[in-house]
Amino acid sequence: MRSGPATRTVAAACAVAALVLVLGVAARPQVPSLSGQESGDPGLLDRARPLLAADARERASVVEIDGDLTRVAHFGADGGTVYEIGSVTKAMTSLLLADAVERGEVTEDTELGTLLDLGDAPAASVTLAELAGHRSGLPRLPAGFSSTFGMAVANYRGSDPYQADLDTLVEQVAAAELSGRGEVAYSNMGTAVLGHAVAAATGADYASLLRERLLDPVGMDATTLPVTPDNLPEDASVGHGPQGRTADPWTSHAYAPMGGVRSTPDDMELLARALLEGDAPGSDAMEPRHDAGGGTEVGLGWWIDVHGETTVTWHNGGTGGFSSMFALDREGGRAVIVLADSTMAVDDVANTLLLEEA
Amino acid sequence: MTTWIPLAIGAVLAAYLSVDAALIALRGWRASGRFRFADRWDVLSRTLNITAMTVLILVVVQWIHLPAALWYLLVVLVAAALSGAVLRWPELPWRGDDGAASARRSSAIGGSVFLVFAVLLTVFAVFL
Repeated sequence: MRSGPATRTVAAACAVAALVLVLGVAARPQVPSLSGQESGDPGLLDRARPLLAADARERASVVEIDGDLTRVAHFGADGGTVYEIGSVTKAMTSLLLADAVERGEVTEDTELGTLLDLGDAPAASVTLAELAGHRSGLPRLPAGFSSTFGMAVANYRGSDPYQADLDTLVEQVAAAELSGRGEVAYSNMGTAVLGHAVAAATGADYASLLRERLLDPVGMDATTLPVTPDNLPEDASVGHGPQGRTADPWTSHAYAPMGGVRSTPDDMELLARALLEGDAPGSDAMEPRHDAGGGTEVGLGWWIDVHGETTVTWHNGGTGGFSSMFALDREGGRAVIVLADSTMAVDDVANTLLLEEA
Repeated sequence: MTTWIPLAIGAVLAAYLSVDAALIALRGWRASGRFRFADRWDVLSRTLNITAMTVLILVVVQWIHLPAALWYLLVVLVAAALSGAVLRWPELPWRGDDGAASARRSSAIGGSVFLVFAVLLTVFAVFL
């Protein structure tokens, strides 16, 4: 007859199992869930809650504009909560371009090399409209192993992968090969350099231009472009990265024109109203100009989709800890903006809310 | 970001750890047959492997896309594996008497050192 393990061994095995279970529970992934602290319009809260609760996020805000009426729904947030809006910043940069065109400071066909020192680099001949419409042929991100590796590590660390200063950005653009110029291919590098080019044409830096020509005229006083972490307040809001952990703020440095703005639901409402009413500087940027494939058109930095009888003009955004979607039904005088504090996209949330009432 | 890539990475790593931990747990309950520990080096190698994999999965996988229940399932499997290893430990020799013992020992030491180093490097890159 075979004897079993000694009692002491069994006890040790049980202790190890218990230790692993305790450590496993203590070290569990910290995935956020939607806050139960709600405020706003009861109807919109009921419509937005299941959409937002379906994915991992803690704080979220929805702004819905319908003519003169505005409804809001906040989860763990309020109208003044600061979110990183990520690439919605690109839409703002394109508004600045269209405004500069209206002022006669540049044209859509102004070549990048006339505004920034690119020598005889291929990118010197790229036009501002090509940059805004993602048709420049510039890569999405800087090429090269070190850049790619650095971006990957930053993504896993939840830190800001965009550390280049303006000189470095210009060097990256000058070194870039153009691929598929004329075809729509999303480029963070393109919009980043576009912002600095427009600023150079006006004799200002990008942050000042954004403040003077868009944020101040629209009244977006709570919206900021920190550019570097030094300009962030100590209590700067942070979101949740893909691993569920708290992510560092993204200020994006010289890449700020493509994704560095921090804003609030209240300010996003102001921008949406100004755009719907045609009062925002550079609103012409939203007019469709080129086919982007898959039924989507692109204006100057803005995307245009047709859903049934509703034309949606939009831009989404994402950073290391936040997601955003800014969607306009210009013909219907309607808009939905969704801001949230995780990397889970909110595009479908905004589109669902916008289209279910259309 | 394309969601299916982190989902696929998480699924593959979780599946690997699940199978590995289940096989170790099986070895813990068997004194003979194909699925059994050959010696203590075999136990150390396999348990270090799943411990390192567990840390790697915790740190690297984009849990925001995955159900939390998956983590708890992995923890239960690892607990079963490690407790099974403890159960079998006293009756095992440090080094088996078969021809593969030396290779197993070298592989256990080398592989474990590499794996632990890789995990520490990953944790360092993520947190520091």
